[in-house]
Amino acid sequence: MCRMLGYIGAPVLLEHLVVRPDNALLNQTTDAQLLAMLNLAGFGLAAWNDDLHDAHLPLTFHSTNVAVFDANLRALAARLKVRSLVAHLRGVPLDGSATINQQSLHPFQLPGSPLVLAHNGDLAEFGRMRTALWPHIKPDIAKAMTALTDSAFLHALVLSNVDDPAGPFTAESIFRAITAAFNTIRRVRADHGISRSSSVNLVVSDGRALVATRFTFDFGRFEKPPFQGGIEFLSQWFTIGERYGLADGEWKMTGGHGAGTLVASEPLTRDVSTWVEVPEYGALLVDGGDAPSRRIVMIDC
Amino acid sequence: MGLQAGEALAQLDGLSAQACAALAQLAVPFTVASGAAIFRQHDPSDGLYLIESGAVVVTGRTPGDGHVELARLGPGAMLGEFCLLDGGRRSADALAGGECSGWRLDLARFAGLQDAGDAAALALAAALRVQVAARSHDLVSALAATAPEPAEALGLGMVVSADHLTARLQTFPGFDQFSPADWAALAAAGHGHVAPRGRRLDRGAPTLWIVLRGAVQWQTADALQLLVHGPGALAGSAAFVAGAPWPARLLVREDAELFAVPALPDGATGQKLARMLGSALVRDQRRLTRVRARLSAMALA
Repeated sequence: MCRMLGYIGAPVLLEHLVVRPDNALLNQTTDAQLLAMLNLAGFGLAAWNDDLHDAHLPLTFHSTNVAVFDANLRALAARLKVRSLVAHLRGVPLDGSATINQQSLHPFQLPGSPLVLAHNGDLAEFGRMRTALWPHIKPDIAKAMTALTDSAFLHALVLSNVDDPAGPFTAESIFRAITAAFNTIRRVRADHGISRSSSVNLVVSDGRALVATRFTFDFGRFEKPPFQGGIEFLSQWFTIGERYGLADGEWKMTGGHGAGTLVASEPLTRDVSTWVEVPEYGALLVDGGDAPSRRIVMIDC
Repeated sequence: MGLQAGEALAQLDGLSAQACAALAQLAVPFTVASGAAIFRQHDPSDGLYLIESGAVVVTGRTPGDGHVELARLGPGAMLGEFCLLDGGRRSADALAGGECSGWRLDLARFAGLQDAGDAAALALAAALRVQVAARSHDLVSALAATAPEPAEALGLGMVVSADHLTARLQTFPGFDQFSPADWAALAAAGHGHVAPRGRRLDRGAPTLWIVLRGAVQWQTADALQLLVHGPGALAGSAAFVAGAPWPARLLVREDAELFAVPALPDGATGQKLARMLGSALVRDQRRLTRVRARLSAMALA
């Protein structure tokens, strides 16, 4: 299991999202509120800022350091303002079964494409599915993949279902690609007789549009404990407003129903009063830019 | 003073005069200045408040740091009752609309009495369960534009054994407090079923469904998803307590193993299950409130 967040809105200092709030992503390394697990397997982010060279492509940072101790990340976060962000804290089982390397860190991105993906959850028995999934990945994308994890395949499947990995994208086009990827996975699971609960909570964004899913294949179909991330449906929360920051002593969105959107696997503050949930089996679609819009849709898969 | 607290408690259905008088002895007076907070959303809870004089405005916070008025309460009303059922944090702000005074039934003292099996405390908990169930019913009615069509016959097979029930339930939080005698009493109080995806469970007298595996879902006639319950959850709790169906469908969302309890068992087992039921009612009510907040936020965005 992992923790993650996505943001689109007025420029905000990175540390205000990942370091400063009482339940900021870095604090979730060891003390996540909604997941009884240590998230020690590294950190990654994709950030957009209009002052960067090639501003449509994200600045990325990936490190296998334990995130809460990562001085480079803290230094970067204290200086960088972002108008869009996808950040991910990787958690893996503590039994040595997972490979810890930079290539396996989220958000995944392939050269030339602004579309990044972060995943919270896992695909049960993925090793049995991998071979059957290769034909659904376009050759150029397969050639560029650097990791063979379930999350890397999810990214590759989504990219293989968009018209052009270089974009442009809308939230709707990203959502269609995600749905197509999920339907492929559903078929492959059925073909292989896999029916174990498998969560695919995603944050997918190109910096202008963002889609956050809250979806689990065969939710609750556990054989025995320990349950994947607990027995509650893995959560995905969001809050909206004009601006995010410290106001009246609280880290929160202010400004009523402004265009900014912050989505996270759990609220960044222990007080969840101003956060609501993406519904189970649902997705939040956000289009930023000149004509911002935001809506909830259910995933038909 | 004590008698008046008892009068306020007597408004709860099903609470005897004797129980009201006994509980009133536990109440301690409070006074809050006009405009001051009796409690704030997310505050740790300290008990149930009974209003003798003055007015209280109850508000909830919304994404974007807005506030929405939930209720205006006057003399004789009670507030903060959720905490007596789940011990959780406050779910709303309560501000004195003028100088406000009354009594507070202390959470810690109440919990101690409940643990000791005090009849008055158990009666109050039962009455509060009915009140919270009624509130959930009202909220679902407000969210559901039309009532669903009647469900067909259940047609479930009785295939889950008592041993399997015990083995599954022991892995879930709350049920780990059950003794072998409780397992036997619970198994005798209901029936185990397997149910395929899509099957409706809301036919006939409301039943308490304990999800052993898979998931069930509350959904309105126009397909608005209200709640999803996974393994270990008590589903249909509000309708069960109220003895009246919700204006919504209870559907099997993922192929499921379920244990149906038509009525709480007697004795200690029933009391343990009733405690869990109280927590489930509050949890569901909080989730429904967030569904409403999400719909409101998305409509205004």
